[in-house]
Amino acid sequence: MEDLAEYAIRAASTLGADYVEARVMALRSEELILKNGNVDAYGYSENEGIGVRLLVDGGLGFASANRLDKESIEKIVKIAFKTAKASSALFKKKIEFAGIVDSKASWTVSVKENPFDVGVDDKINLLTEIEKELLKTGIMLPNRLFEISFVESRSVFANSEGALIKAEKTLAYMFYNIVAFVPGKGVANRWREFGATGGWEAMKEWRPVEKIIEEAHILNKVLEEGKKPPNEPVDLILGSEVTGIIVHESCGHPSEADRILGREAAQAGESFIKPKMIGETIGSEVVTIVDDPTIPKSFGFYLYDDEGVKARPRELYKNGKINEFLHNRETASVFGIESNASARAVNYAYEPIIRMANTYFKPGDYEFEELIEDVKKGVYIKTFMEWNIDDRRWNQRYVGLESYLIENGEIKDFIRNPVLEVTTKGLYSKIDAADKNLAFVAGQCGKGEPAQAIPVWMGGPNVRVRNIKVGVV
Amino acid sequence: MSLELANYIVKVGLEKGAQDVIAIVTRSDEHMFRFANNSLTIVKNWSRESANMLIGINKKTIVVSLTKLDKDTIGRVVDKVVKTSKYLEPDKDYTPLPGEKFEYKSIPDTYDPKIEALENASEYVDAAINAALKEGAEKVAGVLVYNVGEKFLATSTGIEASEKGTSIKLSVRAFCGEEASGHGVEVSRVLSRFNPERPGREAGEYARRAVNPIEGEPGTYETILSPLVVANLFGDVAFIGASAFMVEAGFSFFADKLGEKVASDVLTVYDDGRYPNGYGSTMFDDEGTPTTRTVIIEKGVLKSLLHNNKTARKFQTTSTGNAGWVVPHPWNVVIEPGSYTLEDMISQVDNGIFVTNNWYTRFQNYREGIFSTICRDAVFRIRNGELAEPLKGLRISGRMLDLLQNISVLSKERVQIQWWEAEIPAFAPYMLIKNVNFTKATL
Repeated sequence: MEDLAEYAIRAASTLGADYVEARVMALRSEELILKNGNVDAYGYSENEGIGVRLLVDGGLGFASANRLDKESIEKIVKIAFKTAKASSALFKKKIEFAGIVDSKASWTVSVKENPFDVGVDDKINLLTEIEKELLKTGIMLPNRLFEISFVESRSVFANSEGALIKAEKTLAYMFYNIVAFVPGKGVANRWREFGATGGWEAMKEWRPVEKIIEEAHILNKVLEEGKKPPNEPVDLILGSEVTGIIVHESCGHPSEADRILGREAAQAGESFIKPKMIGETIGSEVVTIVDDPTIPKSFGFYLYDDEGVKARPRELYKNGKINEFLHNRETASVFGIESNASARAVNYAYEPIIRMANTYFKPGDYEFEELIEDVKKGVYIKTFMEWNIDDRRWNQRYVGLESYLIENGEIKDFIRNPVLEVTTKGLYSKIDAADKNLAFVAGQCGKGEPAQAIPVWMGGPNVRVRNIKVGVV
Repeated sequence: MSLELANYIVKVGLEKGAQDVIAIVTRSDEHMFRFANNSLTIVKNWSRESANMLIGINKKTIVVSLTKLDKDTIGRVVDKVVKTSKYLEPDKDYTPLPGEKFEYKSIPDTYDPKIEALENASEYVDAAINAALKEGAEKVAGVLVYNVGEKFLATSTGIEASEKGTSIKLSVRAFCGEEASGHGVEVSRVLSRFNPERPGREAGEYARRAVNPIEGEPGTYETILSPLVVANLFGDVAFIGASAFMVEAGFSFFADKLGEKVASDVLTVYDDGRYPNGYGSTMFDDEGTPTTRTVIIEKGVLKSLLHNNKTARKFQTTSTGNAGWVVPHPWNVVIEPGSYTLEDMISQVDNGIFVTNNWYTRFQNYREGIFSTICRDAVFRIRNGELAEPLKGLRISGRMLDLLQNISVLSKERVQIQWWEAEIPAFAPYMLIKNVNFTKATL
């Protein structure tokens, strides 16, 4: 793989490229689907190829191919060079990359149990156990879908500045959707993802049987017992899952420097944050939000980004102020700084673009009980299903699934479909406390064209929001 | 050559003990020009090839995907998955290949040698940007993509099929100041039906007219949805709603509603895999079944789901030519047009809203179709039959079936839409819908 990457770099340099990088990857993946108790399909794939990105006369070119012979590589290098050079007049804003990246490194995430060595019967047994235990509950669950997958990747990245990075990792993933039905009360559904960098052991650590059974009981109770949420403004406790999606959507995304500069305007959108807004207040002192690729076992784990820059944590909002953007080498150059290693590509066939890794709200020092003890009337939204946010990341909505009424410091009845519909600053300004309990959920974040679904974690503690309206669907 | 490879894969599968094998070999070349702030940001090129195989062995279904197409790799991987199959549980819904032979007829306007021969299409980007700027836009972003692709299918029942196609599409978003934007999309399979200036003009005009928007007021309005919005929502209607897999997996708001009235009388929607110039048009599906026109909703009544052979047998019907080996999916969502112009529709509305684009449609409850989606780009108030002030900050929130029941008027004009936020291709009209609920942030 290394010699092919270097061959591509030599070929592009000979043509006259000002900068060139090549990524060669080999991936294999495995997937199982159990739908309503039936093994729908077993999927297996092997996928390899190369992606080359280069700069010529201020234009940026990219080309990718599956064939890994020298002739094919030379062909795509020529295409990348030719198309970028021929269009250079339309690159009205000339593109430059910040700094010099010449890191040499090799990193591997070792797995305890290689999932490709675990028998497919063990994998089926895991899913059928969930199915059997769910049916035993006696809850009416007309639809049950469980999916597990593993992706193993080996990659070599090299560039014309001397960088050479080898990486090996495995991703473990689980998705499920269950639908509960209570006559006279309707249906409710819960889907959820688990994800980690790791092997078969991750599936066990998630304790999916236990968690899905618990979710089924909760779905049933939400249907049976869920009451209307209060209409007047109340105090709100957001569970880790909800805090996680909020910080991903309204801190992580608007902090992406390519959005801030307008590069993603026609697809994923822009940002309410403008280039000169670092230091401006966005929320209360309690609000510190970090994006950290280096959390062990995380779904968004990496040690070097896909431009070869060494990864480090980034403090995006700090004590209520906009603090740092997510940068790649291109945006860092515009801002006159160094990249903070946010460039990621799903695989060799995609250009690296600015992505989050694992974004979380920094925990506080409260116990959970302390968060709710002085809440006279409140709502606790522990999980959610529906959510969305505008393409400048300002106007957002989250609709609770597992949600409770809080009265005089105690968690009481289930409530159904509480709606939080707020602006970013409106919400972050009203957060007054966070507890110690940091937890993460996995997701696949979409951005770029062609769209790249990149693995991320989102998380936080339970946080308290004072005096806010929780509308009704 | 590639058909030979597909047949070779079938032969290997049968030799290793499979009873049913389908092989699809695809090759494509694609080129993309991305732009923002009136400037190119990257030019991308792909040369792709892959082989996908469905292997049916002892009532077990295995799906394999490979990009390395040498005989050693094919032999090794087929051998490996066949051995793995011993440990798989049988698929209770296993459906052998039917063994029927078909004739495949070509579809007009799906291949154009001029697209295949395009050397550098950046002039179309320039034309789109200039058209938007001429309308008054200050900055323009978007993407131009064109490709040529071939696919070759062979099955263990002796089906052989192949197809070559091209496409070109352009998505343009134009901005005026901080808060006003508009979007236009142009999609074609042949160059003669592709006009890069039209979406540029449309995006630029909407952006210009949407400057200085005011906060919209939540409430219920008579609402006109543009083809972009219709394509986004009806992608969900045709896929999440009508794919038989989605019904079984608990995602469909059409579950148990076949034969029932699910929409207004004015609505007829079909999936058409053979629509001329359709972005998703193809002569055969992934099982070699010829694609066809399948009526999903006829005059408001849910007529059919979309099936492959396996879901069809489960639902006691026949394949609609929508495989997807595991998940049947639509090719082109086609909505029967009405007789109105957009101007006629606007003139009918006393107190309403015109939404030109949306994104981020998400469901609280798939089975009941409870969802919200955010207005994006230009939104206008309609007062006394005329477009009035531009709005911002609004979100549509409701139930999919209510929305379908409340459709009152459709335009005769339709636009082919396929872009980042409307992945399933659609031929979409403007739609006038009563009682659409809008919400906004409370803080």
